[in-house]
Amino acid sequence: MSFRVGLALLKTEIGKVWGRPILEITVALMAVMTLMSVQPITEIVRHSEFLDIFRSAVMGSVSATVASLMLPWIIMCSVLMALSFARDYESGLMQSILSTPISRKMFFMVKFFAVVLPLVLLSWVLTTFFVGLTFYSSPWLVLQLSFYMLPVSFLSLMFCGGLGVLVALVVRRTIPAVLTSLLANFFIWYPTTIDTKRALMEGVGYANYLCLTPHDGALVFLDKLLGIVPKGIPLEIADALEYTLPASSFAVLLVFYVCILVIPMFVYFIRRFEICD
Amino acid sequence: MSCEVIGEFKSVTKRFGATMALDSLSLKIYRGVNGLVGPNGAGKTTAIRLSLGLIKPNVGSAELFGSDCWRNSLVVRSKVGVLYEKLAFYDHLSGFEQLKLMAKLKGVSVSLVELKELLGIVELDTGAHDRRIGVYSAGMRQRLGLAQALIGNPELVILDEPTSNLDPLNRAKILELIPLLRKEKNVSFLISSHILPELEKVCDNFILMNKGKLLRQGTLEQMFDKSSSSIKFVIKVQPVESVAILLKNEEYVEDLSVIDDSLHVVVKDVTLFKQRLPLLIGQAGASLDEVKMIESDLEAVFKSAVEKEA
Repeated sequence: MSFRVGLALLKTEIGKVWGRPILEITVALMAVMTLMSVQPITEIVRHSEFLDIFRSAVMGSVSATVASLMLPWIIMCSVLMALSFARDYESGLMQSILSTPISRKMFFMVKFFAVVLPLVLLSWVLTTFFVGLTFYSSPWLVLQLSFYMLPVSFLSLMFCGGLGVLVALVVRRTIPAVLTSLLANFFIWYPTTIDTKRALMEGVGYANYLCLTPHDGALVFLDKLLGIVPKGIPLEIADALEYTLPASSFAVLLVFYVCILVIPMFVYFIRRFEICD
Repeated sequence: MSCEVIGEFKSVTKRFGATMALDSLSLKIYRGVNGLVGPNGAGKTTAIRLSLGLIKPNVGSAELFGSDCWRNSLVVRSKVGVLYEKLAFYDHLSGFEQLKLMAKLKGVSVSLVELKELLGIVELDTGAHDRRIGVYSAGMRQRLGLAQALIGNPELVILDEPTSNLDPLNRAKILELIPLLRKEKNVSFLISSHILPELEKVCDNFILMNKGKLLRQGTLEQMFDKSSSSIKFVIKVQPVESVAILLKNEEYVEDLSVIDDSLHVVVKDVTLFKQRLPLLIGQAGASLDEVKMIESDLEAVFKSAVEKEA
């Protein structure tokens, strides 16, 4: 009975969250991101004499493209989660629904997964599609990506979702919650834009730990799963965490990030959260 | 008023930071129609939220139908329907779909006929229920909210400012609906409203609050017993002079005058006055045509109690 109730509410929540033209905006953003980040294949071919150099260049390009393609999903996740919780709180919908005999546990899970699950599926399908479209000459790589993208995307978006809920439950106002969530995610995203290799070469100590940040960690994890290894790592930075830690360490790290955000939020919501607007 | 207590607040204190929303509040909710009266910031909505387990008391406990409102909120909420002042729905659904969803959330199976009947009660059955809620007027949303509160035959319906968005005609309809539902479906009500004459018409138990505290609770007459305010009555009686002479000697009468064959009496003890008046009329050999209170009863008590508190 309660499972059916949960499904009915999930269907309604998905209808509400995804009723806006979010998908269209995201696809457009992804198309732009792909065009901006990909190195044209023709250029790579023109300057490559050997197959391994070509393959390495393609892999590097795939890595950069995936990194860019993740950003729209992270933005979407922040915005939608803040909208889903803060807006419902502010409008009184949360109060109305929680005045019915539905458990807070179920309500939280429905709201959380109504945002995260479609995003995970869409990011998986669309990222694979865009990468496949651009790198059709490397089908094996695209196939591998389609396989590994799902867990990475899931962990990454669960983290974003947890952050969105944290912000929404603390701020409790729609616009400030959306803006704070976006800013927080951009801040956490920032390390992915830093050229770690160059920073390490220049002796920037903290650069060694950038790969441990949630988004950068997710991208390094994906690179490791795909077997993308940066070419020509100088000996003095060969022991950096990004190169020495195995993929499993990054998986554990990402699970840890998700757990420290989502579990406390879940417990707080079901045991302590008060509707007192 | 029924004597059966269906809910009770026991010394409930609720603070939000430095603000004391409820201050050692103790009250009883009876089977019947309960009116929750108080100025803005009295703590009425906090009390409603607390009774539904949406907030947790700092001190004390609240019970509805024998279950703790915070710890067993699911049990409580399964017996209660609520209409909040701040109305919120899934705006992309139609009124009909919203009600079906709410029925599912309440764990009740409602047939199509029952849903249509419910929509008929709140007059949303003329095609409006098929339209998206997003395009509903404020009045339509209010009526849909009421239908939502009534779904699944709850034992108690909590209405927070139920007529605030309605025109006088619809307001009257809602007020007619309350005694009807009380009688036909044995539904109890807890109604919070600023429109005191409306509450006076439908409620049989009143809870008067101010600054998070209970000022008074009881029937309208019991409220007067505790009130020190003087109330003015106009009595149409024949012959007027003989009754006036007898009333002048009564100690609870503060002022008395005869204007246009009517007695204008200011009394400080309404209960005693109501008890003594038939006796005095009989003693004078007079016949009573009408007794009318000049000010809205509840408004008088409300003003007096709040002023006294201030």
